[in-house]
Amino acid sequence: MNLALIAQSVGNALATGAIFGLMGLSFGLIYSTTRILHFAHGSVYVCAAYFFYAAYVAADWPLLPSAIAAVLGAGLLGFVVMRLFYEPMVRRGTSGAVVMIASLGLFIVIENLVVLVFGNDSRVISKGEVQQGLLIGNVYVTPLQLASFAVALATFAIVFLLVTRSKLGRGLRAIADNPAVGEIVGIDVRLLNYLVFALGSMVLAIAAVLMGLDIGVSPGMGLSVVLIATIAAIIGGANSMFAGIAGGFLVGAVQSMGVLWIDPRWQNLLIFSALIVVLVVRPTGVFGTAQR
Amino acid sequence: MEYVLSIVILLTIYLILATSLNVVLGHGGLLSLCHAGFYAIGAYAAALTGINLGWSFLPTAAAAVAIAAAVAALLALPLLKLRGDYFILGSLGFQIIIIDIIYNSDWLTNGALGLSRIPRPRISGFEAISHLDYALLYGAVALIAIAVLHYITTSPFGGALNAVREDEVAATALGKNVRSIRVRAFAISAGGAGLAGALYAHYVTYIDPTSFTFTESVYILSLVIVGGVATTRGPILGALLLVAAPEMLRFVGFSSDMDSNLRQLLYGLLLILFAFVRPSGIAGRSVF
Repeated sequence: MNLALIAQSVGNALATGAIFGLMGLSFGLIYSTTRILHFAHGSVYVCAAYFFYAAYVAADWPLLPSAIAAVLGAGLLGFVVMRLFYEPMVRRGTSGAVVMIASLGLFIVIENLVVLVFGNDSRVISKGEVQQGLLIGNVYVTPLQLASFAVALATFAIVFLLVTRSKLGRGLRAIADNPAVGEIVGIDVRLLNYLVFALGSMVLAIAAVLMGLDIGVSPGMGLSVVLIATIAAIIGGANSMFAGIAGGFLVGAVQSMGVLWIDPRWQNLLIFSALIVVLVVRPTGVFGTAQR
Repeated sequence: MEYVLSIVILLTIYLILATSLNVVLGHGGLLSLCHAGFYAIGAYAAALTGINLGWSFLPTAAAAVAIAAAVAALLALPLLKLRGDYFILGSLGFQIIIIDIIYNSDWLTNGALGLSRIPRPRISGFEAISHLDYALLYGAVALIAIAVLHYITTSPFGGALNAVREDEVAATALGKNVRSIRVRAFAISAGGAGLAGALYAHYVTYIDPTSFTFTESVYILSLVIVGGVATTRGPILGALLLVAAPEMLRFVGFSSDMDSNLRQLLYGLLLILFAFVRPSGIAGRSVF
């Protein structure tokens, strides 16, 4: 096997991993603090991608305002989903299994609403910019891949600073550790839950914008996105807000590097087997801590 | 009339799927998302033994039940180590792995193209041809399957299974082998799904992996949730409501391009409604 091929795969793994890292981070933020198996997260992705499509292509806005609109729209959606959908159930002490079933219901509802509004076809999100590929060393990359990687790293840094340095972040870490104690010491757990849903949804929307520019969007994409997001977060470490980033890069590496040795059609098998191995052998995740 | 009978046939299949899922979901308290995987294994087992070996209905159905149950017993070894959310995610993983293997094993399953010309059900001299034949045969099979599963879940074994769900530690303290009880329940449940798969394969005579995806698992799950867990009539009510009722909507002029989307929409709303208002389902016991 030649080195150039391996270098190219590493390049692809990093590009894919950055996007998956955003997905894993978005799910990990929400799951580590609220413990809700938020399957409708996939619908938030689809909505964000269609917000972006509506602004950038349909309304012909410039790129940056369109992306910001999509991210803010998704944040609002996440906030509302927690406030009006999950919160009433959580407050009544509904069990996690039932909440998950409701989440699946919400996923189905939103997916079909999107089909009714936008139709079932996939949409290209692009204004026909010609993208000349670049050669860095032996690795061929597109400018979009480079930009995506940079945006993802910047997002990781911002979220990391937000969670480790701000008052909001201190509260989030407290309730991730123990929500009951958080409540006792005067933290507004409910508000923080809304905010972490908003934050997770915004991070996911960034992935939706970047992936949308690359491969477009269709209403059926939600399921595969939420599966990758969940797997990245769980493999990384379900107790940690950030392990999902590492999990995302790991899944990206399996997907891109696996091609070197294994027929690409067995990728899914590889990734889901990894999930089960981690769940059974190391439930705290590859990079996780044993807390909680 | 043919149309009504075709719904009845579909209903018999979903009655078995819902009732068998209820064994692990309701009585066992384990939220499994891989029931459609076992459904697929049964369908392929029946199709392959029917096509390649020329077996008649009873042996193919037996093979479907046995193979689905055996695979389930094997998967149960790692899966039953998991609890709560992790069990849900693990079962989801197996759902996708099973379908992926079927999808990619072209040499055996013909991959995405699927298997066609599956023989119709034959039992000695009788061969099901008309919709009425199917409805009668499958109705009888469903009745027997539901009776057997009812017997199992109300037997001492069923009592032990419910006890394990309610309080694992107490059941262990009373000398119950928790692990063995759960493995058997998982295998029995998968065997039921395998039987439903055999019925499906012999009815449509063409199968491909798209009929048995994660979405199908969620659909079967919703039949049990809406009907009610841990009782015999719960899944039956759920299947009647969710399989038969939407078909009836057609008669009141509810048909267009958007038909399937609207139907999906209603079904999603129904799931949410039940989670909010009546988590134990129409006729269920409160389990989760």
